[in-house]
Amino acid sequence: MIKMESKYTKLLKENKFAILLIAIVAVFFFILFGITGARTVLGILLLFSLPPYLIFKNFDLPLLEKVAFSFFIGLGIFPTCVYYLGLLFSSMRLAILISFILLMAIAIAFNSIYSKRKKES
Amino acid sequence: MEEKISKQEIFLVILIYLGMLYLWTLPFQQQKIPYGEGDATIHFIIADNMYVTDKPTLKLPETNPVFALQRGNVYMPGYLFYAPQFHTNFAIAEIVGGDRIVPFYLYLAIACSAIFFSLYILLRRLFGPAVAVLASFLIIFSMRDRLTYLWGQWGTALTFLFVPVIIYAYYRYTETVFEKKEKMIYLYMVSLLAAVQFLFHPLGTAVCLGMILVYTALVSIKEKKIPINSKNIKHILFGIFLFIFIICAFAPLQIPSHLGRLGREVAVGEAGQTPYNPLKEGYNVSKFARIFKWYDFPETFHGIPEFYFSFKNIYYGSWMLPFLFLGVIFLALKRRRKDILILSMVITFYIITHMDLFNIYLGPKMPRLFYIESDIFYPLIAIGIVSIPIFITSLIKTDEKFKKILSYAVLVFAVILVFSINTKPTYDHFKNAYAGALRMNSAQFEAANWINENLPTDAAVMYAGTPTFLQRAWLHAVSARLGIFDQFNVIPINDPNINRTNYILMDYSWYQMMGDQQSIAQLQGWEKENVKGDIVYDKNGVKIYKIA
Repeated sequence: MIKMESKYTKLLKENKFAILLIAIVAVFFFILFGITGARTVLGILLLFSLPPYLIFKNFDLPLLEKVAFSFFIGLGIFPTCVYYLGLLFSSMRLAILISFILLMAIAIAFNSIYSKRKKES
Repeated sequence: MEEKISKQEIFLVILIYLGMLYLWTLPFQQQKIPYGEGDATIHFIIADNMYVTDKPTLKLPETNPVFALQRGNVYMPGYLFYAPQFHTNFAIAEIVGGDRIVPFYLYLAIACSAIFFSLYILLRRLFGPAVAVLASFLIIFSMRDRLTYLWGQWGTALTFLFVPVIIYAYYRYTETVFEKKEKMIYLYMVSLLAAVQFLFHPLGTAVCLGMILVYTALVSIKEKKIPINSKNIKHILFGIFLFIFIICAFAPLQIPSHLGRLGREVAVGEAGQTPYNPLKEGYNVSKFARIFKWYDFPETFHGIPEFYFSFKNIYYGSWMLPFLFLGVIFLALKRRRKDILILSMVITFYIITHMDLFNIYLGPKMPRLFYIESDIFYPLIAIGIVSIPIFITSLIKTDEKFKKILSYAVLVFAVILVFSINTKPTYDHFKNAYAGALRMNSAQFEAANWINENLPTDAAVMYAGTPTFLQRAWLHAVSARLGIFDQFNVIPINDPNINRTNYILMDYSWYQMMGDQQSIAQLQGWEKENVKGDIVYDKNGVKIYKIA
């Protein structure tokens, strides 16, 4: 528990600035469009960009490139996954959930394999 | 080595971007009613169908024949014709946001305005923060980007926003080759980005390919070495395989149609239309004169108004033209690899829009390529502005302090000029976009939502009295039921589905708002004579009858 807490505290400390920026963006859209606006923008950023970012973060690329490539490539990967899983499960809502879990699982698996290989070499 | 970007710069960039989004979302901040041309309606219908039915759109919903939706997929009529990602993105936004209208347009605003970051990432690495921030700031007011975003040619907008970031990835790859520290990850990024771009619209990928080829040729001449060798050829081939694999795997039902369309656009024009040929289209210009002309597109097949082909109209007068030339001169004088990259973009654009000089006539929609022009011109303008102190200090001997002050002064002056000249027309354009009869009024919107929530899915609703095509089209889109209407008649007479009508929507809302008693009386006369059935909805000047 203590270990987990310290991990999250560290994560928060390291990403304080990023969290601040995300909060500014969320508040901005909340002011303009209410909860719908904030949900949409945070949802788009999280669903589309996070899985590719978790993969690209392993590569020797500047942060700006990792973020940009994740967003642009995410615009194609995530929706395609949702579309075909949606056909399979006959539900868009369920497909969004499964796609996100699936892509995150792939990203985490990739992370662990990549870092293991890096350690070995 | 990675150049660290200061927190202040990131904060400034985010602040400017939020300013951009404030402007770009103005059309739906107050009036949360959908808008756009026919293309926008089509995209809304397809994407919203996924939200309303909670199922992916494989086969297209039945729509009014004016949209010719069923012919979109050339080889599989009736099936989705854009790669699934295109409309699924909108549907995901609607589901996540929990609403049909705001999330749809918010996703659109975020996706289209991502050109801001696409340019920033390219120019930040090449020319530093001043040029990157200034060019991204200028793009906020880009009329070409704005018009495409508002009109509904979203395929064009979305494919071209990838151009700077793909060119960037390719440039980074070539740099690592020239510096003998090869990083193949950039090559794979080019493949991945180009595949996603192709699936939005192949036109942008064709432009990117042209730019990459021109840059490769020019930089190879300069360096006396091509950025391909025996070591990386297998990666290049695998990158090409990756691109082909992704586009085929992601859009198996659409790729044949995509390629077919691209082929027809490039080679012979769309069905029934001849390829675009400015030398023939009633435009009296010789081939020699064409060499020196940037814009010469009379209003013919392409469906874009003539004002689109004028620097003065599109760039708020001619005040930015000297900076544009200065930018080109600066790059031509320096001729470093990064300068050649930007010049390659200009040269490619010129070649593509002047293919007729080589007797190659592109499809009728070729002039729509001019959308990308602003994404090339604004960086050049920014480079031109930032180069002023460099030119001055190369002529006059000054110290570093003066150079710094001069640089800031020029930047501040440029920003003031942009604010005083470009901002107001941009604000007014967004604020008044699709005002009046060009957009549904709240009474029509409410009725359309009521239809969507209350009428059976097989309802065929005739619109009588709705004054404009756009209002009729959006009534149809929001109601998500078959709409019986004509493109040009207020009361339909040509719609082939007219006999299927089982509901009639009598729309007095616009005439009541305008106080147009004559039109109201005429419509009442028609209603009395032709409509027999039970009223199921009657609110704010809109009545819906269920007819036998």
